[in-house]
Amino acid sequence: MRYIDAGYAIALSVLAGYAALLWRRGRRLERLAAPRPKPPAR
Amino acid sequence: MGTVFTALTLVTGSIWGRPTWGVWWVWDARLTSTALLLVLLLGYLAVRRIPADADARARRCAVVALVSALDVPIVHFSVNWWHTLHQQATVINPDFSPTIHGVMAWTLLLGFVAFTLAFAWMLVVRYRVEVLAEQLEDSALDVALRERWSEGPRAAEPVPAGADAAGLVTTPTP
Repeated sequence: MRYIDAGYAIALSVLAGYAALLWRRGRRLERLAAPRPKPPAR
Repeated sequence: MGTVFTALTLVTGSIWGRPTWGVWWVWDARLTSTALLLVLLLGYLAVRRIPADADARARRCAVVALVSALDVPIVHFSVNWWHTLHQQATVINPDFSPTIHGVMAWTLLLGFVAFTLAFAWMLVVRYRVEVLAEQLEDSALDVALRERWSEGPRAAEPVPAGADAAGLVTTPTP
């Protein structure tokens, strides 16, 4: 049984890590793609 | 994503094989064809990294992806074609008669649904990340081109041979 538990733990950890990585990358790209506010006219 | 899930299949399958078969790995038909799929997927990722223009890269990657996909039915039918260590198909078998205990069947179904939903959600996020990355790459190229053009009139465009002699190149007056 501990083998199966270890398998689940590894699978869930890897998937959670990969999902977090994707999510963070998406947020960073969204910030980069967002239109920047124009500087105030002099 | 396919690479991540295939690698996980091999690792968790190996962990299951140790208490069930007594070995971590054996060159069985199912295991070997799945390992081949992982190698093909790694090859696909390598092809994506070869520098090329977007169209050529997309075409090249599509060919590799199609060739890799040919291994998927081989993985599925491998247990019926070659009778090696792995048990034959228990759920989707030629007799359409699942040979699996009720509790295990429900656990398998729950796991199948959960991991498929996780895959679908991650696929949506991954697709969005790729679209955003491509948009940013395009806009960065636009900015670079505009900067290059603003350096001088027709500075970025090569002057065809003989154009100067033919009087086609005009020098801007200050």
